[in-house]
Amino acid sequence: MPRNLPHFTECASPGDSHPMKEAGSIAMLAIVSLVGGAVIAGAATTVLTAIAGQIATAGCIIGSGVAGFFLIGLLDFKAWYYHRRLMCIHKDECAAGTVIGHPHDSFDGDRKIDILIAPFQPRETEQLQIQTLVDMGAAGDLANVPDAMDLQNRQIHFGYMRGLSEGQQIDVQINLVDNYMFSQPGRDFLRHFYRRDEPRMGTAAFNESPDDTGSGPNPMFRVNPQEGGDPEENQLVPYMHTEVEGNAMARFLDNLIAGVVAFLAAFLALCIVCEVVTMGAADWLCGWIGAGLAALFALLVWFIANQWVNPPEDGNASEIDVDVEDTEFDTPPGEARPGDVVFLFGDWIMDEEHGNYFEVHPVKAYYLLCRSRRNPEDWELTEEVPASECQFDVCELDAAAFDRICRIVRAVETTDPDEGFTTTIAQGLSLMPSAIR
Amino acid sequence: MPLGELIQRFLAALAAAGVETVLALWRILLTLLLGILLLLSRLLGLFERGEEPKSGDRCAELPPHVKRKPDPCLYSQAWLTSQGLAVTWNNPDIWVTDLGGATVPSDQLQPGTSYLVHARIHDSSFDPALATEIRCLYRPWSFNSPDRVPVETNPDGSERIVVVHIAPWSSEVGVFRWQTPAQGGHYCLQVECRHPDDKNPNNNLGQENTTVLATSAAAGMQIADTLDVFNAARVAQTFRVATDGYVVPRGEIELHLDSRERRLVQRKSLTPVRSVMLTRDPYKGVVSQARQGPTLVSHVYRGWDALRKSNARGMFELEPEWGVRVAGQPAAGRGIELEIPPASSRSVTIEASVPAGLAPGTYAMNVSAVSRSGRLIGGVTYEIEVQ
Repeated sequence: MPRNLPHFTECASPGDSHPMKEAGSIAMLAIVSLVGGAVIAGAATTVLTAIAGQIATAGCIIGSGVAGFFLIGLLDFKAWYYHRRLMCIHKDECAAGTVIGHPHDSFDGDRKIDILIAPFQPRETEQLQIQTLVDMGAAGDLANVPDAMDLQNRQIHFGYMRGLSEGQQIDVQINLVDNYMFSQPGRDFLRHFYRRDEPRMGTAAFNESPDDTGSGPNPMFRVNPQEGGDPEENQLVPYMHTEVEGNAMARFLDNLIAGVVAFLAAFLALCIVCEVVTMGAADWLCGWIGAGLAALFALLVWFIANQWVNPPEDGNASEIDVDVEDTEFDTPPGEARPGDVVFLFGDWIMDEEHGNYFEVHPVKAYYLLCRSRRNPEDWELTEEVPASECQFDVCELDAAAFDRICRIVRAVETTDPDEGFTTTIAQGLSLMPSAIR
Repeated sequence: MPLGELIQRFLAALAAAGVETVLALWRILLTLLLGILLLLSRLLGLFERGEEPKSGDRCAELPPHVKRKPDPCLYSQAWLTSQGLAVTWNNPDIWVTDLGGATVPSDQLQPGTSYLVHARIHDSSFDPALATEIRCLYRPWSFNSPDRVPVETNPDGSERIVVVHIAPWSSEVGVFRWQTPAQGGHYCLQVECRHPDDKNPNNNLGQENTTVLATSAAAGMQIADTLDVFNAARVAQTFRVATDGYVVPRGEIELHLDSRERRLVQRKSLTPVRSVMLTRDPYKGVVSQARQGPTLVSHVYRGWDALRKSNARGMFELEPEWGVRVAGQPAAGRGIELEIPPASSRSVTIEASVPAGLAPGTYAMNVSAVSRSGRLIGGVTYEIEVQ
């Protein structure tokens, strides 16, 4: 039983993935839905004719077709969301960094964790960003840059970054990433998470991803020094997004599908009853009455399903636990806190729908390397992440150590443990587990 | 827009529609039944959902199928004692060599000389112990001395800590350079490992505290040693000092894997109802709602019982011929009790006679001190080589 088990989403090969917001994608969804609606309308006609003994009314046929349109459309949308939305770059990729901001749930049930890529540490990166701002100000690329000493006040630093246009913010961050962070000798071994790199990504993924150079670029990383309650909106430093998967969106869509099917079934039944009872005398009325009653029925089905039977929030990644506790196998729960240094294992993808950002999605394994000792509640008050208190200093991580850790993790995550384990008695005593469970 | 892709997507959606429609009809039927039940339950006050409120901690929690927890560990006398096992202070995971790599008994170190202290740390988990810290300290020849000194410091004077990455059920050795104190003497070595996400932090401290003696089989030998027993507490404490002849047996053990795969679900009172709802899982086909999605695969190694039984505490008492005396009192059996005032120490003399006529070999005499609450506070192993 390998740990690398299936998950809800499956990324598509470069070229097979696509966003839904493009006109072509919407048109294709519409055509698939229309053809599906037509087929279901045709099937409804056949059923109505067979049962009612006469050619059914246009209203009944059109209503079935509309329900079919939504049914096929929802199914195609669900297939896109979970199988064609994410573009694979590399499956089973390793990443390391420092957790930025509080992990939080997204509307589709995924638990979002943002990390500043190793070997950089938030405070160090903020200082590099101040240097970037001052140098850009001196070069005339930015106006009214505060004095470097003033920028040590994080409120002023935040305030200045928030006052920049989105394009300027991206320019600052790209300058920071290219000329102050990854330009440092020996510290660019994870640069590919922030800047497109054809050898690391592969030509297909490189060609299918947006350009990240020139004016108005789409950086692979995120920048978001905004104000607001969203934890992603209070970040000074560029970060990579990672997500532990949930399936709230699938549950939401399943409930809608149940509602549409309920409508279709009720509508057909009501149409048949109406046609038979009225002997075809109230053709137009059958469609409308059937549609109205079926819509009420569908709404009831959807409401019960969404509220009680299959609530989407049950699909939040953070809400799940094992179905049966077993102290022999269980381990204490773990938390993710701002400032934690972590090593992640998962699929490296580009989200076609989420600003074409690059992410680790889903995170398949989460290893804590250094625990932040600060109180997570301090974030709102201080807006800062303290320096590491661990002996493992993320700033000291180098390519060799990263590769070594990655080899260990990849082996563990993709292969089964040995069926048997033989060791000396002395080592067995060192490894002795608790006798009391 | 490629026609082939359009047809492919349409056919896929249509095929899915057939299955999804049947499943949706089944869900509708159950939903309606459940709706009636819920309506009745609301009226009668039955079927409370009983969910746990989402706490602040829960907000930061990671789901168990992605969270990894290692268990870095070493031969830990305190942990093994708490598991009912006999222990030696000749720690198999701590050893000293000279700078050329030749092993040096820890009681035969020269003053003011550089040595290498080796500390082997294991990972007793199926998750790698990444970024495990190793500390190495020494302290005076004693039981429970609070004066711990790092064996190696960084150029800035801070304690040197070695960081290692350990694969599951494997080990790594941290090496420390130790310049022994110029004034000489006999020291205990302590090694600690530490990980921020340790599954079991109780097996992280090991001690090396050994004196090697040699004698001939015919002559026998008188052992007499004095060391201090410290009470660092704020109240007077009574310690029990006992002896045994335990030695870590040679040989191997075989463990076998046991795995378990469990579903990950929400803990709610309506889970049984949801388990009859069907849905289409892209990997498993049509499954019940409760069976879709990720699972947690956990492993344990079994086969520890024989090791526990063969190393159980109380099985290794010294023969009465050893005539062991601690603080002047006979210490055979359960040992003797020492009361020590708060924040102070007491010098204790340990005496024994190695019985004449013992067959050639290595014999051990372990002396351990345990507080009244059962906490192991320290000990020493006398290793006697009979020629």
